[in-house]
Amino acid sequence: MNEPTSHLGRLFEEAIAHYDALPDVPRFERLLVERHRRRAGLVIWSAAACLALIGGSAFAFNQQDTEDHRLAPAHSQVDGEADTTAVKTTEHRPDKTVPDGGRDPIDKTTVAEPATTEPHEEPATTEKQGTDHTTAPKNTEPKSTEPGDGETTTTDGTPWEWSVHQVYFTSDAEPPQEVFWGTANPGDKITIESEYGYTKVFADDGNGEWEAHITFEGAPVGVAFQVWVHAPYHDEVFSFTYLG
Amino acid sequence: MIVQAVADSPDREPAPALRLVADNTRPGSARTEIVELYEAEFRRTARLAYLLCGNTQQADDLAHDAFLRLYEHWDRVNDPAKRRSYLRTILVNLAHSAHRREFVARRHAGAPMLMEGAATTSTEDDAIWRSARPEVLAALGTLSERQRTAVVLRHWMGMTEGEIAEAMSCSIGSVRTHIARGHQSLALQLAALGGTR
Repeated sequence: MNEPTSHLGRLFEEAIAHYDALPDVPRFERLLVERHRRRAGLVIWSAAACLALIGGSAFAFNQQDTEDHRLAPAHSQVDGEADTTAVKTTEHRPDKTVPDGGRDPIDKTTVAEPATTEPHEEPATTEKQGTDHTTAPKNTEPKSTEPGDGETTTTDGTPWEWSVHQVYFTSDAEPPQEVFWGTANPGDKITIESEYGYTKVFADDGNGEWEAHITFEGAPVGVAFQVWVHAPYHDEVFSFTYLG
Repeated sequence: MIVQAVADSPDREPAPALRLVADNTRPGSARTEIVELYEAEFRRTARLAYLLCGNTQQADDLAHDAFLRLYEHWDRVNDPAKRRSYLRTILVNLAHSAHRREFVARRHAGAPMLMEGAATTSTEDDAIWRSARPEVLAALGTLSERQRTAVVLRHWMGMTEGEIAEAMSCSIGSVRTHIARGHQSLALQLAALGGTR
């Protein structure tokens, strides 16, 4: 050890001359082990906490994703395009004598613009919008005389939701295919029709859900055409394009 | 003790949790080097800690804690020559933190500071306090913590002002100021306590 050279340093050295601290190697090694264990435990607990956090987040995300699919299959596709392309119109029937219902090709592509359509046009339905249809029904429409059409409420008095969703909007399959699904009064007949295909389904007797697959034989490539969805109280029109 | 048990039975495979500890007992490992440094430097480190804090028990704890902290950051200090200066820096910081905690605790409790006057806490402290230079320890206890650190490092450790500035994490000018004011205060206190022999 270097001896203090200054006078003050020698005074300090004399003052602590009686303090003789001896190294205690076993104690120091014990402290080393304890510190090592503490750090290892801290690392393990941190890793466990991170894993639990990641696992919990993944589980919650998976649960939410499952619930979304249960409520609305292909929900993202509907949401992603419904705002811009799929606009439903009511009380609009196709004119069978004129291709595309009398509209020119430009009109087919501008169906999505609400300002150019009829005053009753509304954006594509979601679950909430479907509720709006039933809570504020179009009272001007006459009641249908078809069996089951008069059933507009559930057993507990809440109205059945009417909703319709288009899934693909475009297709490159041969023949082109499209899927519509939604909810209606249990037992209602829903017809899907266009110039290039027709199908019908019946809403489920239990929960009113329905799903229809339709193919468009002979559809022109790259030209959007209209597809009508008819239900006893609702008529909706969608647009579809065959990509070829 | 666990470490000794592992070391005493080389033919037995250590438990997984202790394997790392056992590996560190090999010659040339960090563990061996820190133990060697501990054996070589602990006395000087503990005495420095005592001059900084004025309490043997606290000095012992500070010295051990400084070696443990150095071991935690062993990989950062690749140069063995710098490990001693790094150890001193750790000790100064630990003493500073301990002093601050003690100051806050005693301020809230309304009690005087430990090093003000001849306050001691153990028989060993009493023995040291009745040693050849009790007035020096008393005068040292009247300095501020920064002045005391600077004066001790300068005169007892023989460190340069640059080394002190690095250890105290301040500028050289601040070190000079602390040392000068410490000298003045020490001179006044030693004169008041009867002067030096």
